[in-house]
Amino acid sequence: MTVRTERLVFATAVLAMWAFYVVQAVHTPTLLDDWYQLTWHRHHAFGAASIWEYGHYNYFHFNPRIGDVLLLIVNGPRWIHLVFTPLVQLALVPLAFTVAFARLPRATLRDLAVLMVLQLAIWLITPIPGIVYFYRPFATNYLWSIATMLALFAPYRLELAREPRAARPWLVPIMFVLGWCAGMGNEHTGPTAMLAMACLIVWAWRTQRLRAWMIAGALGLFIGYPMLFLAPGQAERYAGMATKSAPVKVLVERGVTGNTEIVLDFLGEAQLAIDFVILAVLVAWRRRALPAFSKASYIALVVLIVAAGGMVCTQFASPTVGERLFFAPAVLLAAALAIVIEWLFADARALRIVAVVAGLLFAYHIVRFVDVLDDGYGENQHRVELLASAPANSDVKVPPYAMWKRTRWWWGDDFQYASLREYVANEVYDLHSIDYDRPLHWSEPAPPDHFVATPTFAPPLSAEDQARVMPRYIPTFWEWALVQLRRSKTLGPIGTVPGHRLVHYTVDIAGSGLSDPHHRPVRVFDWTPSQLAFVDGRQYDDPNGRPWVRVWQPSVPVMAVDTFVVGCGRTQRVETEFDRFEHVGPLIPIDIGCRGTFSAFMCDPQVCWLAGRYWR
Amino acid sequence: MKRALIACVAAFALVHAVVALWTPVQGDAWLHWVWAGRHPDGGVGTWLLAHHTFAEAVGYVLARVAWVHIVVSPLVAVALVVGTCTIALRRLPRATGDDLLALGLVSALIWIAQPHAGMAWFYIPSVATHVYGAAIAVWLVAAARCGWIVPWPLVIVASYCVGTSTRAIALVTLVAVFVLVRRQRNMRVLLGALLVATVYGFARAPLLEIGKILRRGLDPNLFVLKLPIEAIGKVVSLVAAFALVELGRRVFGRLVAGDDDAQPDPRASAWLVVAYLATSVFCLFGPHYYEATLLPATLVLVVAAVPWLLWFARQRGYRITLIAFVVAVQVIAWATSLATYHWIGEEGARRMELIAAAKPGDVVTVPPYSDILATNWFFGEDFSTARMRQLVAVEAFGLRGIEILPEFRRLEENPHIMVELQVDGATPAQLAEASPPKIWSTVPSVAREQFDQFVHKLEPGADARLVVTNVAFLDAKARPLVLAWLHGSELVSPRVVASTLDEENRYTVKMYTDLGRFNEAWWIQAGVATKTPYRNGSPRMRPTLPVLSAIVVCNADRCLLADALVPRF
Repeated sequence: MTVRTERLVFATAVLAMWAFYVVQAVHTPTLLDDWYQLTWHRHHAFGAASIWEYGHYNYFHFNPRIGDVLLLIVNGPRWIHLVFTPLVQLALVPLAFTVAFARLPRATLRDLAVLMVLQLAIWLITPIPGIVYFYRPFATNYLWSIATMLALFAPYRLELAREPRAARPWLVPIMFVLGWCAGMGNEHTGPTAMLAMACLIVWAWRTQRLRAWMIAGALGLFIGYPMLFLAPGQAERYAGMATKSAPVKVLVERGVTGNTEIVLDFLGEAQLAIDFVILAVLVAWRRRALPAFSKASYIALVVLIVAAGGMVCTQFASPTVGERLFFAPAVLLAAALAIVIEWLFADARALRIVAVVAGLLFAYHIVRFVDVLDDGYGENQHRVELLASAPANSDVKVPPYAMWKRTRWWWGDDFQYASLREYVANEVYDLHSIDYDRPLHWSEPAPPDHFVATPTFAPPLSAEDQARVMPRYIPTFWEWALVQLRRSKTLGPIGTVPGHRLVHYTVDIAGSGLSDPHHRPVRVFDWTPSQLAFVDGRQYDDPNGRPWVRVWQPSVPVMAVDTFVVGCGRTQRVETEFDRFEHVGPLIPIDIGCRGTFSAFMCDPQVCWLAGRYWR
Repeated sequence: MKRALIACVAAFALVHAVVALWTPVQGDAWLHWVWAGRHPDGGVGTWLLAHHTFAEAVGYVLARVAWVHIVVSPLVAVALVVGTCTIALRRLPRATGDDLLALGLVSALIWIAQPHAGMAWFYIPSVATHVYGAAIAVWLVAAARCGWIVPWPLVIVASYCVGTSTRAIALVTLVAVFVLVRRQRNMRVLLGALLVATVYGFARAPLLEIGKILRRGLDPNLFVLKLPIEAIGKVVSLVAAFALVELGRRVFGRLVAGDDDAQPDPRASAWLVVAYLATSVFCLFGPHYYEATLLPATLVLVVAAVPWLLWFARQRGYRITLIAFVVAVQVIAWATSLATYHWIGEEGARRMELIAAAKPGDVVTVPPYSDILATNWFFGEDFSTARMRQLVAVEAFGLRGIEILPEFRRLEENPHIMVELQVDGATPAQLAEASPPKIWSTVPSVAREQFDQFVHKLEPGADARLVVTNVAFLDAKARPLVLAWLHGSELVSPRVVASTLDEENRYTVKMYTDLGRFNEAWWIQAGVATKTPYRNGSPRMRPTLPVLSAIVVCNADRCLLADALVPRF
């Protein structure tokens, strides 16, 4: 094949890949976290000020990752998603190639085959490739994030692998911003990246090839990551989950077995790709037609494997593990495997065999991605039309998605969460409620009660003014009622009433069904500027499958005297039990006598607190 | 070194013997007790007719005769490890350090590569079906690989045992032997005997579940295959890690592990990896698929990995690492096995004591096992289904029932269906001869089995029916509600299985026989009957209350209670 033909084939393949990603971008449905961005855009004109306000709020009160700001942007005008998402997805593989081989891909069939194997390996190793690539919130938080990280490292690899070049001072601000963005990308990739960056800087310095832009990139990374890790939003996000799960505490609690499981899980996910490469090695090795493995390739291979391992091991200290967090190490491991495959390609027969087998697997993935997303998008659009055409304040019934289960290709049905249905109904479409048109065992039922908020201002507001600043609904999930308060305090209207200051905010339950002999008020949370009081209890099934509401010990009312569970239309007084498995806090037993929601309450002498819910 | 070898093998056998001593009768092992209960006067002929496959015969003996399990099973486990090692080495292991390491590696690799290895090694039905079958299989393959001439009677018996163990073991053995001896005329008896036994083994069980597997679709099957793919990961990663270090030594010009001429054949290794994957896929086609089913695939993988690890072990650093690895795996596996089965054994023994001490006709209450769910080591609670509790209680011990307290989420409640046997056209003497059960089970499927057993002993010409007495079914046509009936030579006692809950909170009660005899269906909950589509013998119900829910199917003359359950939410 001539050089010109090879270039033509290469260009056609790249174009086809871009077209594939564009088709997927066109068919990207609105799912789960996407809905929250829609609300923002509903109330804010798209522009720099709006993005800044969102990023600022997120950094101090919610998800501080830059990926969440990117999510807001790609959920803005549609052309942004259609243009940029496919480009980033397309760029990921050449970036990984550059980091692995210290050169840009050439327009040859051999490099095209390596790029295909690399892309395939990323899909094979990632536990949920369809979700990480085509569910926007994961794509911006994980795919864009690792792409940024690779974009940061690629210039170092290129520079240090070739003859010294000019200083290029114009790169300094670019690299600083890139480094900062990479650092702000993800909590799990930062430590390994910083270590690798430190090694690169030392190496460059010792070989007298250190450049100002290298220091700028490193500086950006070393500023960005601590900014992300220590962001105030981390303490408030997921109702302060991060504050309960200090890294060392998580590491110790998980123990040797738990941490080994994380490594074995990743190895298990990576296995198909590793087996594929090992089979290729065995076939090629037998033919003894391979050149010697170069030192540079070997070092790159080991460094990429160690880096992937480092990112997996970082999860030892993380409250969440696996799946999406395996994406970054998957990319690095795939790059390492690509180095081996490229070496095998010295044998023409090995190249042919690998290319054919990988091509078949690659085509299977493409077909599945397109097919699944096309079906999912169709159902999603139907649902959106139903919701958009419903009269305001109506109760809307929607059919479940045929693909309601989460798979490696598709997120599943996001409306299984009652809190999301409530949010979308009230915040996006001004409806009263959304529910499924049939009973489904996997769908969380809507809580039977509702919450009532009582704000107190100093000086007091008139009843009319108070009604004006109150939201149109209070979420019946304490985490979301709290988020609503925080947003309203920061972004208005509650926190921005001229001449008045919010001094007290309580949320109580109306219609809880609790038959309390002492008729105490039933509270969800109690906020003052100096204190937030609530009981943090969550649905929990112990290792034997028994149902509980598990309460986080520090949030248990100091003078708790009674515990009740309300469900199936009756109130039961129960005794809490000791959490002998994980020692999180007291366990409230749930006796499931019907399908529905069970609410647990812990009462002190004055107030009964909502201690959590369980549904079945 | 000879002493060390003997000590290691003795330690291996001792640990397995102690665990066997503590292992309680569980799961399918109870079915052998049920068989014994149903055939109190059965002779050797009856037993052989019912247990003519190797897996069934060994399963019965291990479940019923504890000392055989304690004494013989550890030796079989040793034979499995030594046989696999023989295949990997292409000769019998000798009393040398290298071969001791090889044996240790085989054992350690089985522990880390076999999914739920503890269950595969110690759960009695798994030992009977998989460990015994595989142990004989590896020695047949070893004979073929090493070119040993085995006496033909032994070949025939061994082939029969392998062919009637599991399909995967039989097929892997047949293919392996074929590949190894296809050009050797003196091995034709072995090959022929294996072929015949394998065909017999395939023919007597239900055919491969190709339709079911294909209907399930590619993605769900790939998901199921994650189990063996993940299992292979640990072994492949171990070998790959050594290979990576070795590659580094070569790249940087350090000493190499051994001369390349002594290196294992990459082609053979590649084929063995392919064979592992193919065996894993084949295992999908049943008739049963669970972790222990993959034992033959695991052994193939071990045979592929051991020569490479031994090749690396020629170098001191690798050797020390591998010895440390083997020791660590064995210590962890044995310590965990002993610790786990110590308390499981206590709980199992306590349960057995309570059941055995109960008087006939009693309802005995036993506590659940501490671990309800299955683990890598333990089967979990085996009395969670009402059917199993009733089978064991009524058929094996003559009890009215077994209850479990405290309850747990997966515990299936007994529906307590009361029945009455009505017989026409048989004299009291004929009725006594047919020996109707003293206690009828309160679970429909078990009661039907009892009825089937009874009518087979009843004189021809008599009519019999099992009438349901405690389910209120106010039928406008006043049709009788029965569980099964015999009219002339016509026995209507359908096999019925209730599905698990589907995504829309429904149970499907699927009838596998007698579909054409009925044409309408009713769902009864809390005494209220609601008509539901018959769906060709697969009516559905959507229980909303934790009370008795039953499906009744009818024709013009009678109604039959197909199944009943108390749902747990």
